[in-house]
Amino acid sequence: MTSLTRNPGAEPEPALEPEPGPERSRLLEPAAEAERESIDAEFVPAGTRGYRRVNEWLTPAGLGAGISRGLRGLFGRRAPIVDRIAIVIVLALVVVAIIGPFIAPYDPYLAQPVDALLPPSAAHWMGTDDAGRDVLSRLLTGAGTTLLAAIAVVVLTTVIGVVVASIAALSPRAVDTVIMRVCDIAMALPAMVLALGIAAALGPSLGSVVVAMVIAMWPGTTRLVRGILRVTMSSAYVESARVTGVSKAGLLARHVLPNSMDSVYVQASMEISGAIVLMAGLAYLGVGAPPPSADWGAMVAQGREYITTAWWVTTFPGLAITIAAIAFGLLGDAIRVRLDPSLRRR
Amino acid sequence: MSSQPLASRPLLTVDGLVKRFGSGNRTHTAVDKVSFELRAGEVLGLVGESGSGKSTTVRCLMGLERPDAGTLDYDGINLRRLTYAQQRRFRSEVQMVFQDPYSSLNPRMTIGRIVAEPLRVNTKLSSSARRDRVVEMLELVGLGAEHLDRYPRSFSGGQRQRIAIARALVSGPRVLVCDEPVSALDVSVQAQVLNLLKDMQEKLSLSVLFIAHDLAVVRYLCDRLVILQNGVAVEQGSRDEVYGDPQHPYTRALLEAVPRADPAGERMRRQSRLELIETRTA
Amino acid sequence: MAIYVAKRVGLAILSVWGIITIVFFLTKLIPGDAARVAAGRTATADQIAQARERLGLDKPVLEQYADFLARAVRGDLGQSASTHQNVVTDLSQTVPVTLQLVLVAMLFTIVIAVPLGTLAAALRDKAPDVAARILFVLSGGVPVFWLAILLQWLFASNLGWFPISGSNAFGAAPPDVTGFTLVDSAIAGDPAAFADSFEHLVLPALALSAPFLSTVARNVRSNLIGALDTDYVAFAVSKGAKPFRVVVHHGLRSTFGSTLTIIGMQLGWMMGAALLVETVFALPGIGVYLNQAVLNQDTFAVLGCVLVIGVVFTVASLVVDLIQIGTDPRVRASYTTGATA
Ligand SMILES: Nc1ncnc2c1ncn2[C@@H]1O[C@H](COP(=O)(O)OP(=O)(O)O)[C@@H](O)[C@H]1O
Ligand SMILES: [Mg+2]
Repeated sequence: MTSLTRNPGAEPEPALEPEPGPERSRLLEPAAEAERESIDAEFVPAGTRGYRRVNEWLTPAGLGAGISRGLRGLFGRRAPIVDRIAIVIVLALVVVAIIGPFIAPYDPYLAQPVDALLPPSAAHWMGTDDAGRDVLSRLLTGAGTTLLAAIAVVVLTTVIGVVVASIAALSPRAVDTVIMRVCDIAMALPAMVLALGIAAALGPSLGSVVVAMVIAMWPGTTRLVRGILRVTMSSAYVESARVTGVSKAGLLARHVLPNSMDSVYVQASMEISGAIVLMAGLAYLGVGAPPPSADWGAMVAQGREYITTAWWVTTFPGLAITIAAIAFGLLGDAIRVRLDPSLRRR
Repeated sequence: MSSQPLASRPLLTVDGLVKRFGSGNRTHTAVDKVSFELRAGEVLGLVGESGSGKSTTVRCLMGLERPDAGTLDYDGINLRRLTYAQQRRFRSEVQMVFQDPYSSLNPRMTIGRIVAEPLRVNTKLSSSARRDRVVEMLELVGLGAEHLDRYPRSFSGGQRQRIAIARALVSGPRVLVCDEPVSALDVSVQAQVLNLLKDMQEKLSLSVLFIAHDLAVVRYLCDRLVILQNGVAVEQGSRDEVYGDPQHPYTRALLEAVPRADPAGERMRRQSRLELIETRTA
Repeated sequence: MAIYVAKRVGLAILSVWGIITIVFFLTKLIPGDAARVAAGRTATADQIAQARERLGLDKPVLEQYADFLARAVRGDLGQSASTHQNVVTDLSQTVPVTLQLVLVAMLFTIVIAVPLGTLAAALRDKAPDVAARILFVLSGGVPVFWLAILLQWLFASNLGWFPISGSNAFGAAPPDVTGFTLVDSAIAGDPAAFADSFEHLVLPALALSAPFLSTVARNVRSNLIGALDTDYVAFAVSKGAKPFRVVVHHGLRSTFGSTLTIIGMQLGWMMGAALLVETVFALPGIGVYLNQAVLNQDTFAVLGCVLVIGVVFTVASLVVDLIQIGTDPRVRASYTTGATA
């Protein structure tokens, strides 16, 4: 009678994830996976695994609880080795992002033409670039902007996605449909291309890249979150609350959102890696923090001309991006396996 | 057993209810022109095998599914065109217990909050009054106040269904709809939950619409029965009529139905369950 | 079916309109004087005034929007400040290059990912499977432009197996008919030109296919494993059929549909990534043009590219979807009944 019913005949559910997830870790460490299941099974009646403690949605405490629940066991003896490596790398990256500028051995911005294009050596572990700047120092300094900007993009996108999807869920069916159609249309532009257009229109700066990426990515995130909310909405406990007379807003706030946030966190953690690569790509095409800055993508672009004579200028930043993207990707996967109730019940 | 005032008036009326699923040329009619009424103070059984459309019928009734045709009426209110005030009244006076107690309780809420929710939305009680009422209700269903701050995951199926019953009854409804409330439970606790429902029905003089796929379960509970087959109500009548002199072959088949897998064991289990009910209700 | 096709085409038209609208609002995002930006950095006061008039910047926003729509539909996306040509004219030469790259990369993706995924599934949990999975993880994380640089460095600069850049060797280009060098070579009946064109595409397409390889191969793998676990396969094997044959015969067929879906979903990413790969290999596609436009702060050319890519992508995904309804009865059924999974 309201649009909150499970509605056969509505648009098809978006596929949340094309490939089933937990296989990676199961394959690489089959025994660990099985043991992990059995620990979790203690005291947990079937059908509720994954819900181990209260989690007030979207509060810092709730976010912390979600993350800690996701990370719990990652350091444990039984965690798959891949997950442990991933988290160690991610933690190292976060540390570098924070203290990088302070431990950089050289000034990352000071051009010293006499030292141009020196190969890796004891003095310059990763060599120097065409302006004679130490590549390692630039990498360490750039880590903060590159990683924090990517995380900021994902956080902002997720917040917008949750808010808009919630508004859609609270609105009459027609409004909901219109909002989702708007997302579809915005998604007709590849995120990379749209972000490039926006960033170009806004002018070159890190801020405009972040804004551009958020504008380009929120429709996709909103659609995914809407799908997650719709799934939760059709669960029996939400229907139980509905028949006791809880309003749409109450359903959303007390039942749907708290039980959807785990999936949303999973989604967000999976997006960080894509954001890193996307931002690097944009920087590579010339939109991003303007030249002297040590953005990793820009460093790859800048070293490209010298690849035949000085491979290190472009190789190390590229490697850094790759490692960061893979580590965040693996971490997202690991968190998903831990948080996503539908994967755990398999 | 409750003795019914013979001419009690109909409280819930379902008339010509139709619900189809799918669209285009691939529709499936889950409920096909079903009509029945639930009278004040009675227990009405809605019985049919799995897939016969029982849940769909009550989901339409409870506004969880949009009917394709038919009238639904609660105490003079047209359920298909509710004003806001009527909606409020219907929601507070008609409550439901779902089939699966494992999925019908919000895993992120404490038992105290779950059971208090109907009070919160349907009454103006202060939070301490709500708490008192919740404790009283939990005790009524056989759970202590010490459970208030625990989460559903730490309860067994039977306990969860008691919690669900407490939630349904806490705001003092007139009608209780139970969709196979014991079929997801261990046989050993089914009788206890059925007895609890029976007790509550008598204590609170509720009208109950009770759904089951098994005539044995409802025999000692229901005053009247509606038999559903493939979405069609093939027979209805008082308990004595239906059990004593079934008219429709499907009803007879249901009465004779013996589970295939372990007939002897199942019969014994069923027998002991029935005895339990009888000793309780005697 | 006809209804679905009509709906889908309608959605595509709606998308194109939406894209034009988005791009229009992007022109409004430009900080400062858009006329100055449109006229280019070196423009005189006169040229700026001209640009202002041409863009109708003195008119009310709604009127500007109507003008913009009308012009976009006619294919007039304004003038590039650096080439001084109509952006659409510029793009008509670059789009085929990009499309050809994307198509070849897709072909590579399928040719590599399907056997690899099959192998991983058939030898589940054995060394080759583990190796393949590590490869999937790696290929999924590498930024394409960096991979492109490395491939170029290794296989072109150092080993000399493939040409370093461009779409054809000097003098080897086929006469331009469609802009697709492979097609043009075929039309000209020139095997040497075809080989030359293909050689120039191998490295870019390989780089571009890497990130998508991982998604497609993982999908093939998990689909096949799913198929392997079905009773049907167990039955066939118990009757003496070789498991591997059963996998290929039964599993791959069921995998086809979902692979197509994934490729359809990846199309947008692929077009975005193609822009990056082109700039590395100096393939004269939209990416190179766009890169130049960005560097020259030729914002209107950038937005023109955005619009064109959006439209190309919309049409391409329309085609993928239509192929899919044409081939997969389940998808067809789900659309005609509107049922949710
Ligand atoms: N949301 C739905 N979409 C499609 N078909 C449904 C849906 N819900 C129920 N059905 C179909 O309607 C029929 C009746 O289902 P249901 O009312 O759940 O039966 P019962 O509760 O008697 O077991 C079944 O055939 C079922 O498959
Ligand atoms: Mg049912």
